[in-house]
Amino acid sequence: MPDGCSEDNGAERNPPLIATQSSSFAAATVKCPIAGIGTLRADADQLVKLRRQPGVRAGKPFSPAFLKHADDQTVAAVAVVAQTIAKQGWDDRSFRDWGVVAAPILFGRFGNEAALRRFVSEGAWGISPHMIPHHSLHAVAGTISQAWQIHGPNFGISGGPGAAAEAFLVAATMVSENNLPGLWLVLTGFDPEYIPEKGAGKPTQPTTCLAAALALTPDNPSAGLPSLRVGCETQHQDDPHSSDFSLRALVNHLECKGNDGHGQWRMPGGVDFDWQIEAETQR
Amino acid sequence: MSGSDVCITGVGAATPLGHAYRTIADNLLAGRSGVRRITAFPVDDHPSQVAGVVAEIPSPVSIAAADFAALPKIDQLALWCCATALEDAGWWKNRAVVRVGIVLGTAADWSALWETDGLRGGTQIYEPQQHLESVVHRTRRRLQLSGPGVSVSAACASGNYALALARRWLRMGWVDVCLAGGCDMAVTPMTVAGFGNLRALSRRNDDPAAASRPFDADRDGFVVGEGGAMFVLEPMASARKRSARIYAKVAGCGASSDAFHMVIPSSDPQPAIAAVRQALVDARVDPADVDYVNAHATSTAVGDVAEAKVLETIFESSIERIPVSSTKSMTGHLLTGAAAVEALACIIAMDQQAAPPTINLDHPDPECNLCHVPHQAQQRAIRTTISNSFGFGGSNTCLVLQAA
Repeated sequence: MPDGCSEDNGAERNPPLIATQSSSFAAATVKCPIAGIGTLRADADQLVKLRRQPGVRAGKPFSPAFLKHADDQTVAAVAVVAQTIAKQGWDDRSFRDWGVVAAPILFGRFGNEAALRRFVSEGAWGISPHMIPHHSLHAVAGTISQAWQIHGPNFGISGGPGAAAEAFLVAATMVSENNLPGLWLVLTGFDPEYIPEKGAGKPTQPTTCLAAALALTPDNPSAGLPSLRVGCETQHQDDPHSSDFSLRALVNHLECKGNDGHGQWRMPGGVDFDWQIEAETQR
Repeated sequence: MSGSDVCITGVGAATPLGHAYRTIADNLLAGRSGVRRITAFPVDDHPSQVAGVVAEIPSPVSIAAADFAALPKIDQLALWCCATALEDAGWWKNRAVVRVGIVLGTAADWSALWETDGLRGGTQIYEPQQHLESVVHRTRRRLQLSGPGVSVSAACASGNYALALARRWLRMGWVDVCLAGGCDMAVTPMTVAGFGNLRALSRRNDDPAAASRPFDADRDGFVVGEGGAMFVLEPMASARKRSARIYAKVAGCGASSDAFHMVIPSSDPQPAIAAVRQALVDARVDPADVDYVNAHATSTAVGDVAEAKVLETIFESSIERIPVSSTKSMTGHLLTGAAAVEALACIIAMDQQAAPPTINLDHPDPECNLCHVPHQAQQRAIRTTISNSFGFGGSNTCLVLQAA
């Protein structure tokens, strides 16, 4: 059983997984097959190893320098995509025309903390030229695009605590256009939150980088794959089935329940957001 | 008119050329530079010391001036742009009766907070922040908007992605009205230092107004800028029904990735060509029918030439007569705010029937053999425009706007 799947964690962390009956799908609902799902939990030591070798692409290892300047969340994102591709046996598959949407949470704090200290002590020359390209919000999606030669659209989402929920809305929007053969939706964040220890180059307490990758493909009823359904409508009253959406809850759910089950979670700011992952072949 | 057509009915902006549509239009078409020596913080040890800076952002009527002044700069910018756009569109007073969504192109939400606070001696970067809202949700809450809100970041291409997503939300029925655009307050000590050390910025510190010179043989890097623009998007049918002013139809969007390098544009122009072609196909526009091109052209040696090759390929022989300019010559490069402000430049071009100029274009680079608009605006019939925005991370985007 993966970490986080104990009885105690499951009850506390997983949101209620309820029947598909939904009260808030009045506007267009997007449903698409999930061709592949991957999750990853990496502590500090594992991140060091993954930075040197996050996996393979097209059967070959990455250059050890590929992620040299990357943020830890970028490292986890590349690794979880590599693992998902390996798990699906897609080593020879081309993702050339796919899109990439990546939603890191509180991205770049480690790099920003180090940069801030150096700027205060050394002035302008203390800022690394790698700071902006690799610690800005677009960096995770841009790196994945570069890693797998993905030439479709790539961009970052949010960067804030609500990043995962925003990413589902955006991914659904992109898939609904029906002009991409597939879309990588990649979510990352630290659990517990990464709080840097001043001047120490490490967090104040041990923390784990979580990552989830979903390979979404346009609707194809004959595919027989688990599917993701996303809808969005403003609700003006509390829904007892909704609860706060989080990356931790999603990763726990994917690891504990696999592809089956349903989630109905609430987006920050009062907009309700329903998503469901259902294994249609098992129904 | 198609039933799925989406148009722009409201504009809100704060740029180095002003905070009001009329002022920005006048300055843009007069070829005035908004680039100045940076005075907000010491720059003596910075390689680049000039920027396109916004003047003090006024408080929207809905917010007390003292409360507004206490907000972070990025919050001020987003609030001003969104509130004035809603007011301009005629939705401000009725915003509670429709689902107003917001798609904000931005990149420096948290890092800007940490930098500003840290340089004042604060410790926010060392404190838990999972409970904090992002700027898009703060804006949404302060303006009491009931639709969904997301922020998107593709560096300099962010604003075009925001407009594309907003258009889609309207077509999906997720919102009735949607704010979309991009905002960035990137003229900060660490950002200017970071780009400076990347050797991306102009070092023409003794002549700020001449520092941003896209397509010019003597260019030596871009000039960082700050500001942004937000637009109100709504279905064309509902805009016509309520007799709203229609600035432009959001006719086409295209996007691709170089998958080449996090900073350097690909030497292969095909990915960028694909983005422009996709936008033109989406808009059902023949390249020969484009009346004005607002180029991404940032004033870097590699980027300007790469874009010129893209335009030559797309427009073939028509490139000799389709005016191409880079308004970054006047505003500087507004990073995640750039695409939105350049969409505004296209709207102004259609509204005023004039192509804005590329100032400082004294000696056009022979490798950028385009139909330039040097120094002065050119009066022309303009109904269809394209705006290219290419960003770090290899993002290429193109937006087609048309007169309605």
